[in-house]
Amino acid sequence: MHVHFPRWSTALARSAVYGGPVVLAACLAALMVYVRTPDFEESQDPVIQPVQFDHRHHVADDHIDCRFCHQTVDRAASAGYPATEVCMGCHSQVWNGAPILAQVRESYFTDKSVPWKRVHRLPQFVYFNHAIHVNKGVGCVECHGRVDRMPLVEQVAPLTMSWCLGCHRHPLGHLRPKAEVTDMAWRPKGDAAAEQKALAARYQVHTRVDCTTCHR
Amino acid sequence: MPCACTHPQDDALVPLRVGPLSRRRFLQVLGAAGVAGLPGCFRPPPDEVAPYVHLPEALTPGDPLHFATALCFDGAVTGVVVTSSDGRPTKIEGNPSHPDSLGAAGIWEQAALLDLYDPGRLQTIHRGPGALSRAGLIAHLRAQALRHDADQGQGLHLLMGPSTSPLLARMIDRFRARFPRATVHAYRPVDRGAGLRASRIGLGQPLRTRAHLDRARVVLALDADFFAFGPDRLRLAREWAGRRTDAAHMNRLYALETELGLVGAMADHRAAAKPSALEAASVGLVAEVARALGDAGPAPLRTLTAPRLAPELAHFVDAVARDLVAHRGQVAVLAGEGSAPAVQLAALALNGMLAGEAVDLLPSVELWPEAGPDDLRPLLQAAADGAVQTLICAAPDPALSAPPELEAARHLAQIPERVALCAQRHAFAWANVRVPRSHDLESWGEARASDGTVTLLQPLLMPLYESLTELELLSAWVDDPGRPARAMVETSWHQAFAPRPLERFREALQRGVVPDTAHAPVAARFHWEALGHALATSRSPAAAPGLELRLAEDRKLRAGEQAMNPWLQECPDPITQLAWDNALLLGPATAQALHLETGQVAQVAVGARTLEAPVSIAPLHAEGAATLHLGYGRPLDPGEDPIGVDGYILRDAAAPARPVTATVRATSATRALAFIQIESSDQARPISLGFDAAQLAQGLHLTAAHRPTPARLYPEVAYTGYRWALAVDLSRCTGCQACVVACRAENNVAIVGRDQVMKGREMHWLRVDRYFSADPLGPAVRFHPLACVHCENAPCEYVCPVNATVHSSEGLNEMVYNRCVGTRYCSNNCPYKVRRFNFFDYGDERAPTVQLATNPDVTVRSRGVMEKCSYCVQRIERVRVARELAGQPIADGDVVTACQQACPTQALTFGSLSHPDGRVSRLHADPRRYDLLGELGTRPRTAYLARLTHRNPAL
Repeated sequence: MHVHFPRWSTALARSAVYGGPVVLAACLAALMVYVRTPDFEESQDPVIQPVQFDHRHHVADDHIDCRFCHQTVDRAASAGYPATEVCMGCHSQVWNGAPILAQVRESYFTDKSVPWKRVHRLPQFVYFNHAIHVNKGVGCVECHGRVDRMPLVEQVAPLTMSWCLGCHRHPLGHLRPKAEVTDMAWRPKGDAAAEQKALAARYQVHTRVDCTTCHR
Repeated sequence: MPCACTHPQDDALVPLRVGPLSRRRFLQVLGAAGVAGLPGCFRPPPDEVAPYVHLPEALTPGDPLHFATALCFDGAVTGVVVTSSDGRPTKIEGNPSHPDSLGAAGIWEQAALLDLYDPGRLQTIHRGPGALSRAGLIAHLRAQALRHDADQGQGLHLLMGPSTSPLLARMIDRFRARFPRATVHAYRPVDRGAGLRASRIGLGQPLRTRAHLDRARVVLALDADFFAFGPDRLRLAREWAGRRTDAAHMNRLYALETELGLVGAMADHRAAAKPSALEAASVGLVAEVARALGDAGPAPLRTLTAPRLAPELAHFVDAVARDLVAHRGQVAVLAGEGSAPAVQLAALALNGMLAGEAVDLLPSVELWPEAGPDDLRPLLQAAADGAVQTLICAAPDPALSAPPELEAARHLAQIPERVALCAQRHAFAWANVRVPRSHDLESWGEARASDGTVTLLQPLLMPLYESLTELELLSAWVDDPGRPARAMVETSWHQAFAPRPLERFREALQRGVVPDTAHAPVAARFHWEALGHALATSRSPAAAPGLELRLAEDRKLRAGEQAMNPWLQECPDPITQLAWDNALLLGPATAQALHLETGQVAQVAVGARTLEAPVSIAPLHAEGAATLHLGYGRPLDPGEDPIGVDGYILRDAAAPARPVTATVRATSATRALAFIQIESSDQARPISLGFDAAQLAQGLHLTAAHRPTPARLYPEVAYTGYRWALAVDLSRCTGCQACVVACRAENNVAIVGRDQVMKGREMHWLRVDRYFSADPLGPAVRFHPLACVHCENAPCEYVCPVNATVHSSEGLNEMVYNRCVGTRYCSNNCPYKVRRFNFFDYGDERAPTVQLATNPDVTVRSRGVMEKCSYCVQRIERVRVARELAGQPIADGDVVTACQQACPTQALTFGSLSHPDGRVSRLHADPRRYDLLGELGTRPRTAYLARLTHRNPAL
């Protein structure tokens, strides 16, 4: 019989059959890993906003507390975005003609919201409650990072379920006195471990890992 | 995708082209389709956030506010507290301060939310084929009013629907003052004036009977389903149920009815009688009671002849009469609002002889309480004579419910100017100016409860569309210029609330009731002579041969006002378990004699009018009679099939409120009916247990056999925190389905439609099953509310391949929608069959306005996801966070589930077993407690309490 295939084709066929699935699996795995990296997710890029609100100026320079604008963080699930009248409280007098604030003024006088872009976005099937976290001594910086150093707010934490569970399983190390919740630069003094235990006892920190804590 | 057609494979080459797509092209498309999935891997662009410009006072975004208002259903007013999420109403609850609610909200109240958001509502003002702006309408109405000023209202007719509003009464007075020659008509599709007409005879003045079932040892219902109908149905259910659990002070309920109703199902003794026999039996009862009372009773009634009755019915009447007399002074007799004059008179007479403190007499709170279907005739006659120039209609569309012989639509269309206030886009086709009607939740107004207590209605949101309330429409006619409704309500109470009008107005709005506005009971003298004479002569004339057909109000839709409401349509009728349909209800023997089966279409002939209706065999329905519920026969959208059949066309134009004689003939056609529950017998299994209280008194442990403790394979779980549990008291549950609709509203449960219901795919998390029991010892009809019982050893949890259903540390069986992949193994394994699967994207089918009704605290589920009762975990979590912030533990009674809150009889109790003195712990320790299917070892957290009956040994 006439030989149709050269000798080396056997080796090629064998390596294809054995190596093929491995290569395929590796490609798939690599893709799956890549789409979960922040680089791909673009989640940790600063988000361009319609008005260039600089937290560095308002927080670090002017020492405005987080709660001045995010008014419901300690009593509701959503921290709240400031109503335009909050901005205009100062900016009707300070920099009240600045072009950079034109959209804020326009919003105030036309009664249309400023179209801010959401930075920290959880899926719709996750029900997160700010008030309980803030009242149990979890500082703003734990999840939102050094917002006081951000020209534009970016997401610094992955906000994945596994990341949340990390703290829920081991809360000690993430607590601070309630008075210091908005202090981005706060560091524990003295025996940090003992202080964490004391805070957990004082604030009755009983973290929950039941599914319906967040998913209902 | 290309077709998956098969072609015969033979030795010839398979052609290269298959249909319009070649194989090469198919592979190209396949490749592209694979890549098409790639965008799903990318992060979506950031959402926009739109904060307020001016944050409203007292509003915390994400936290609901609660406002008290009232809802009006054809003269029945219920005070409600409406939850407003971010400025839109999302849930209706009862107002505990309201005398006709006492905190409960029935099916009509719960479903009224969807009526607000109904996409079928009329949205713009129409004049002829064109639209009109609000200003244009006001100008048009004022021009009409000025024209009629000249002739003092000659030819001006007003057609009003039922109302209890004192403000409207004053408005009508001003209307009459300005247009003295105008005529005011009042219309309602079903008659509710029979009781008042009877009291005119028996008391000399029109008075309503108000029963206090908490003071009654014996309650008799004569053709009265007072758990399902009437302005005080919620209150009466609560009062009745309050005396059902303590064996020592139990009341006894007798029911005499034609069709099986909720009262009949819960009665200790029930007799079924066709309408003519029912009248006879009622008169017979009066005669027997009067005779038994002898000199202690009224003389004119002693000579009343008892009509001849069938032996069983006579025996029933005899025993009931004896029991009533034995408990003289603690008796309440109720007659249905639509019952025959003889029955109303009988109830009045019996109350007069026996009631004592249990029944009060009060004036009616309605403006036109005796208005009925007959009252359309004068208007139609005037229209036919050409005497009507202008008609303003604020009543329910008369063309839909008037008997066909009256030709209502044709006559009304002849009127030159016809202004109608319409809720639905496709109603009032005969009107030339159609004005959208504001829903109660968008309106300022007033309404009176049945005892006279006034509630001020306040809107939950600005009207969604260009709509007007009744008051605003009339004000455009009467006042110059028309006044906004809020101003009218405020000023009307200005004097009453002096010296602090604004403060007291706000208080009244906040509480939902205006204090001290209840009517005092009237002490009226009985005119026994007149009553005796009327009883002897007022029975309906002997029925012609044929079936006595009752054209009765539907338990869900009443006379059809909420017929376009999918929540009500999909809610099963408590007795027939029909959804999206009505049927001709026949007793089993009657059906057999006519060779009719369930699902077969019958031709119903009443005189010259015929109707084809599907038949449903109704166990315990009186033989020789039939019932057809009104309110059906129209499609949700024009062009679709109608829902059910329209019983209005069979009504007798001369006496629309009375039963008619029908001949029913089988046809060869069949129609599939959408039953929510298909198996009606409990096969004598211990599902819904019922015992007589006498057995309890003998010290029998009735339910011990049904509280097994099977061995466990797994170690015990130590629950250290809260242990959530529910207790369902079957002695109290009247089967009204309020909990079902409340659960649907609270948890964004999807509507699936008729076809899917027929496949068994309805999404009710909580259902109330109705069993005709094969157990001869207990009650014949039993209700059984069933939702996920949150088994401690849940069979669903260990079969889920992706751990989408797990057990919480507090005992909840949790359903995690985002993990679920839809294998449905959990539902397969659930012995209670309470898990519901989203076979389609039912949520996608919600119209944009209907999406406003969704509760933001609960995920809206997509296709392919299983869902089930969660013990209202969103409510538990809200309370938990609030308590944690306050530094307090959750106390007993803090968490109230939606079903518990809606239930009129407080049959459902939720709480934590970790509170040893809590209500749930006590109920779980009750001797009547049993576990459903406990022998399977599921250890459910929902415990049932067996129903107790209080039988009369003589029956």
